[in-house]
Amino acid sequence: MDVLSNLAMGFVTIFTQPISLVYCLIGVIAGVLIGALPGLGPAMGIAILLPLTYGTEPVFGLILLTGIYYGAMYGGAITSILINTPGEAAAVMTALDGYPMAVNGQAEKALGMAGIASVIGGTICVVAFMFCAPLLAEYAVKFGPAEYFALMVLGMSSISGMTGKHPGKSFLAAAIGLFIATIGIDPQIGSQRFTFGNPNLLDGINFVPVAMGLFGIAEIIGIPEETNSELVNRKFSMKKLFPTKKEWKLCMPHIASGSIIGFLIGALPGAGATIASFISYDFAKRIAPPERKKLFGTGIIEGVAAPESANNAASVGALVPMLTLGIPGSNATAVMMGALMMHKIVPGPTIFAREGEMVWGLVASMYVGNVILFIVSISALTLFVQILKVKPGVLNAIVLGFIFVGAYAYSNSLFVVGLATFFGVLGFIMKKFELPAAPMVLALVLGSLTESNLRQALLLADGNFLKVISTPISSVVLVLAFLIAFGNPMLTAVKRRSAKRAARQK
Amino acid sequence: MKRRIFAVFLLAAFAFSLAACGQQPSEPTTPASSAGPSAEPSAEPDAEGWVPDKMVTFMVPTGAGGSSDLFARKIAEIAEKYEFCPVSINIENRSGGSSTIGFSYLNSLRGGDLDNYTLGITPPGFWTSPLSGVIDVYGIDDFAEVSAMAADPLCVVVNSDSPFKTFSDVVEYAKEHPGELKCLGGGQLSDETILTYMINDLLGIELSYITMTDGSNVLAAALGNHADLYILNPADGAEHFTNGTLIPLAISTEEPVESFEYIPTFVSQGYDIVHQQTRALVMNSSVSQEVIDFFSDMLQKVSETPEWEEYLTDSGLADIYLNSADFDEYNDELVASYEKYIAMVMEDREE
Repeated sequence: MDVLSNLAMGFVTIFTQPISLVYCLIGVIAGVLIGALPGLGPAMGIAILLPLTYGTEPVFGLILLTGIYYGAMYGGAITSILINTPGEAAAVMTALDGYPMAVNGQAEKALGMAGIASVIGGTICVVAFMFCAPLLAEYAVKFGPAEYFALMVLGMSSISGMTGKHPGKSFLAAAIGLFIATIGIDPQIGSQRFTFGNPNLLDGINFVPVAMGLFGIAEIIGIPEETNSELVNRKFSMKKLFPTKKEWKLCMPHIASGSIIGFLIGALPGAGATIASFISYDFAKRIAPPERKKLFGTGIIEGVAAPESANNAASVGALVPMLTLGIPGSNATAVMMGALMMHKIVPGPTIFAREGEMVWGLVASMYVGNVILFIVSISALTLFVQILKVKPGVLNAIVLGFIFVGAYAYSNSLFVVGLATFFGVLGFIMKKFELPAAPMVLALVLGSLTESNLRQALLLADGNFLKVISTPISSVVLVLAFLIAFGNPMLTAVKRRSAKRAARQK
Repeated sequence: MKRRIFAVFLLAAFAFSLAACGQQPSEPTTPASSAGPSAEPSAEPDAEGWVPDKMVTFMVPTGAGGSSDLFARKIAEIAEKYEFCPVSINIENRSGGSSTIGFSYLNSLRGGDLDNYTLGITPPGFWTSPLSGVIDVYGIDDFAEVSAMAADPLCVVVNSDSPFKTFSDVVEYAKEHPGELKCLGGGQLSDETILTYMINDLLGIELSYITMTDGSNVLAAALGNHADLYILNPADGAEHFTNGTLIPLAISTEEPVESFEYIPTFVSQGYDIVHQQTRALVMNSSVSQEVIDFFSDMLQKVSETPEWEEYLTDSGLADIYLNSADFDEYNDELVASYEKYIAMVMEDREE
C-alpha cells in the first residue's frame, strides 16, 4: 500500500500547486503540435521548451517535459491519419490504416480512436510504472547486445506481416531500407560507407526525411491521379469521433496488448516507441480473427488502435530506465535527463527514496496529463478535421510547405530538404511498382540497430555466432521471430500435406 | 468555404511559426539568459583592445541538451549575469557528422563578417575527426585556441560481480591472457577509445575495445555485466558507484577529482596514464590576437566565478582553466597524443 500512499502524496503535490496543471497543459498542447509537425519530434520539442523549465521547480519542469513527450506521441498520429505524413517515427504504423480510413471518410473515427488508444495505453502504463518500475529496471539491464540483436530480428520479422499481395516486393523494399541503413560511419570501426566524402552523410540517413518523402511527398505527387475530391464538403460530426460498441469490442484486445508490448519494449533503452508500434501492429494483425486480418492496411480501426496505444505506452516505459538507472533510452529522454541534471536531480536506483516527492508528483501528473491529453485531443480534432475540407490543391501546397519547413528545421540544412524530395520521387516510383513503403522504413529504422548490436555481440562472444543466439533471452526471442516469419507458411504446408495424406487414405 | 480556408491558413501559419521556433536553438536567438538590456555595447569598454559590438555566438557542434550544449549555455549564462561580455551571447547548434558539420561551418567563416563573433565548443570530434581523416576540408590548425575550460575524466569500471577488485588485478590478468578482456566504450573513435589504446600501449597489455553507440549504452551494459571492463564518464555512473553496483577501478586524471575523491587515479596506483576529454573554445584562425585576448579574458573571469565552480562539481568535470597561450601549448601535446593513438587504432582496424 506504500505505492498508493505515495501516489496520494504525489496528487497532493500537484493539486496544492495548481500551477503544475498549467505546466502539464502547456506541455501536452505543445507536444501535440510538435508531434503533428513532420520533422519536429519529441526530442527537439523538449529541447526547444527546455529553457522554460530553468526557473521552475524541478517537478514542474519534468511535468512539462513528459507532457510534451506523450503529447507528441499522440500528435504524430494526426498528420499520419490526415495527410499520410507521420509526424515522427512512432507514428508510421498509424498511417498504414489511419490514412486509408481518412480517405474512406472516417477521419474523425481514426483520430478519435488514436486519441482514446493513446490515453488508455498511457494510463495503463502509468499504473504499471508505479508498481513495477524497479523490477522492470532490473529486467532491462539483462538485455545486452545479443539480446538486443534478437529483439531487432523480432522487429524485422514483423515485415512478413506487412507483405500484402506480393511478399517478394515487400522484401525488396526492406532490402533497400537495409541498404540505406548502411550509409554513414561504420558503427564499430568508424570507416566511412557510401558517404562519397560528404559530411552530411557521415551520420547516415535519418528516418525522418525518408518517411517525409516516402509517405508525404510521394502521396502528394500521386494525388492528381487518384483524386480524393469526395473528401471536400463533408459534414463533421462529433458523434463520429467515438467508436461504436462493436468497434470497442474489436479494439479493446489490441489496445490491451499494445499497451503491454509498448511498456515492455519502451522500458528497454535503445528500443523505444518506434519498435513497440511496429511489433504491436504486427501482433494485432496476427491475433485478429481471420476475416479482420485480411482488412489490415485497408483502413480498419484496429490498425490505428494497436500502434497508438503502444507508442504512448512506450513513452511511459522509457521513463523507467531513465529515472531508475540513469540510462536514457531515446533522444527525448536523453534531453529530459539533461534537464533533470540541470536541476541537480541525479537519476539512479535510489531516486524514489531521494526525490520521492518529485517522482510521485510526476506519476500523479501523468494521470492528470492523460486526462488533459484526452480533452485536448478531442477538442483539437474539431479543428484538425477542418483540414479535410480544404480543396486538395490548396491543401497539398500547404502540406508540401509543412514538410519542407519540417525537413529544414530537422537539422538546419537544405541537405535534408533535398533528401526528403529525393525520397518523395523514389516513393512515387515505388508506388507505381507497388513496392510498399512501410517495410523500407522499418528496415531503415531497425537496420543500423541490428547491425551495431550484432557486431557488438559477436565481438563479445569472440566471433562465436552460436554463443550470440543461445543466451536464454535471445534464443527465446529468436524462436519467436522465426515462428512469426515462417509460422504461417509452415502451417499451411503441414495442413496441405495432412490433407493430401487424408485424401490418399481415403 | 472561404472562412474555412482562412482557418486552415491560420493554423498553417501558426504551425510554421512553431516550426520556425524549432530551428531557433540551432540558428539565431535562444539567448541563454534574458538579459536583454546588456545587448548594447558596453558603456565602459576596456581602456584598450577589441570589444565585441554585436551578438556573440557559441557554435555547439552537437545537439541541444547534450553535455557540450549545457557547457556552452552555462558559460553564456555566467558571462551575461556578471556582464563579462558587453553583448548578448547566443547558442547555435550545428550537429552532425561527428562534429564535422559544425567545424566546417566555423572554418567557412574565415575572413567573413562573423568570424570575430563566433566561438566553437570542442567535443572529442574536434580532434579525432580531422586527425583520423574522416574529414579533410579543414585541419586543427585552421582554428585558434581561445581557452580550455574543463576536462571530463574517464574511469575504468567493473560490475560488482567481477572478479577484479583493483586495477592491478586487471593488469595482472590481462598480461597472462592477452586479448581476452573486453572493454566497452562509447564511440568508434572517442576519448574512451584513446584511453583504452593508451592503457594497452603503456602497460603492454591487450584489452579488446568494443564500440557502443554512446555512454548510456555502456552504462546499461555495465549494469547487466555483459563484458569485462567499461569506460565511463564518472558523472554518468556516480549513483551506481555509491550504490555499490559498479566499482570504479581508476580515474584518468592526474590528481583525484573533487567530486569523485573515492576513485583512485591511475597515477596513484603506479600507472602513468592521464587522458581527459578537453572542453575548450576555439575560433577561426583568421581572427586577430586582440579578439582572442578579449574572449580569453572573458572566459577566465567566468572560470573564477562560484557558479562555474559549482557547475564543474555538479557535472563531475575537472577544473583546468588555460588561457589562449597556455592552451595553445597544451593543445600541441594533445594533438601529438591523439595522433599517436589514432594511428594505432587505425592500424589495428586495418587488419
